[in-house]
Amino acid sequence: MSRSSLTSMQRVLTALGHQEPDRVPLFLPLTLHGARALGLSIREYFSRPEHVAEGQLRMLARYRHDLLYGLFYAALEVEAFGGETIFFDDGPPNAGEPVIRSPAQIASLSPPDVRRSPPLGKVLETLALLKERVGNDVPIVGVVMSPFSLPVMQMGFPAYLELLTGDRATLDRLLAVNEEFCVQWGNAQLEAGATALCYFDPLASPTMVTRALYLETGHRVATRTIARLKGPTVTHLASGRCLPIVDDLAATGTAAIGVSVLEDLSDVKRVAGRRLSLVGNLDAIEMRKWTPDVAERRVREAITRGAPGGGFILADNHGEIPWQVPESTLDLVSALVERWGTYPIAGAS
Amino acid sequence: MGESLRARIGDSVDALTEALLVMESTRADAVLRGAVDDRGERIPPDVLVCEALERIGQEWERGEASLSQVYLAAKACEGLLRALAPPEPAGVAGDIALVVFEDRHALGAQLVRSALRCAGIEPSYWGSLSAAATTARALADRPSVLLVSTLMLRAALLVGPMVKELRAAGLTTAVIVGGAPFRFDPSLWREVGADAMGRTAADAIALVKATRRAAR
Repeated sequence: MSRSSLTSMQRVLTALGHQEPDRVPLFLPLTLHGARALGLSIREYFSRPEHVAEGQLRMLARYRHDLLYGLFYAALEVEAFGGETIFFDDGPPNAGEPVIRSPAQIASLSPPDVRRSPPLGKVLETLALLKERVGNDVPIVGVVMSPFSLPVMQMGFPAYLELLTGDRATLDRLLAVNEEFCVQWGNAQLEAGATALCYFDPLASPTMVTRALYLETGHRVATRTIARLKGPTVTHLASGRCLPIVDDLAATGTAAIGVSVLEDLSDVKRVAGRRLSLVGNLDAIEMRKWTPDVAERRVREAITRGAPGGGFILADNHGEIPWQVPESTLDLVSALVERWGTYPIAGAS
Repeated sequence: MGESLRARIGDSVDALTEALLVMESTRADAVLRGAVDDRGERIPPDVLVCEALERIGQEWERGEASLSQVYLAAKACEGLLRALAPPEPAGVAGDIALVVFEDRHALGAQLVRSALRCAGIEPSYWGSLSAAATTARALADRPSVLLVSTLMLRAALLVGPMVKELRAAGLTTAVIVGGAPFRFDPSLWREVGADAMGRTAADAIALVKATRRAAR
């Protein structure tokens, strides 16, 4: 097979194997733009698996990127725990009031049954529809919130920070419930059709908690959880810094990590070596008002720093492209990757 | 704060910052109670706390401290200052309002509230409000400063129409914004017509004080 005829699956797997494919794989984590393409409100769009699957396939066709994304919205997992989701017309659905209003509730908390949860069922059905359509040609990314980061939405950030530095027995109980849920939920997505899982763990970042606290808590949970998931994972810190904990993240057994725009891809690549592939690190907040010149500069810079030798997927650093990023900019990013992302990378040292 | 004062209290700020970062509140308390400047004069605890919080905020900005340290330091300082000098009852500064804008995630606003309290300013806390409700409340209460805490980009962009509506109604309220969208896009606060942007919670102290001075 010639290099130019690689499927997205082959391209991504080659890159994750730390080899250079035909071009840099591109992942645009588009959760909302499918709704606009289908002429639906965001609430309507997420109400049916057929909508989301169709939206994902349209994004794949239009932007010629290399991964399909199973994420509906982050608050969906909290919905499964009985939480409320607030929908907007112009942005991602958001978690409402915390479901855990007092640490005392944690004693009786139990993981929701993944197979019987309507919100989770919609995601599983979407993944199955996508798998039916693309087979093994395009990787499908499922998403789990880490057991360590989910409590930010379950109980609110301030209360969780108090718990993290307070009653360890209650914290351990909460993390154990979430770990059980995360393993069931992740494996159900893999069975439904996901090729790999994005393990969203923003709290692991030293931007959020100290490395010492992470090692005592979230790192242990991540190591256990990732070992129980029956597929590869990408650990994503949702724009938080990763450089000080690259070794720790590698030790969890994850295959790749999301890199923040606050960090230099070549610095992270130097530390990660062949242990971890990198995913990142375009800034989708700034992307909203990129001019063609800025887009070219940002895309080229990320490719030049991250792509040589493989082990790199170009993506945004937040894990979600905002609704306000225009389609014309996404078209441009796609074209720029085809222009500047062909191996060997021009201008790379 | 003048540079000369800052230099005179530098050692005490170092000691307090270090104690707060490792969450040793007993040590932090001892620093606050015993702090004297290089002339042997007692340093007011609130001055020391504001300096330490500002420094911790800057360390967070540079990636040298975590958000959990910023939060817990501010909470600890609030408690320590309360123990040293209990606040006057009914001390809410009605001219300073603080709102969680279009979101339920209140960490950023709570950080700002703690930092302001440490500086002796008790803001009027409006909790979590929509853009429309914030606008209506601002038109009714007419605060001189409105601190707007955001998390999502869509919320940050909604500050723009709110500012326009306030200005159209003749309100001169200084709108100070903060939160992730403004940190990632440093020109966004100007784009939405805000008067200032705080990158850290401690920035709010200086911004509020400057706004009050300018209004006099």
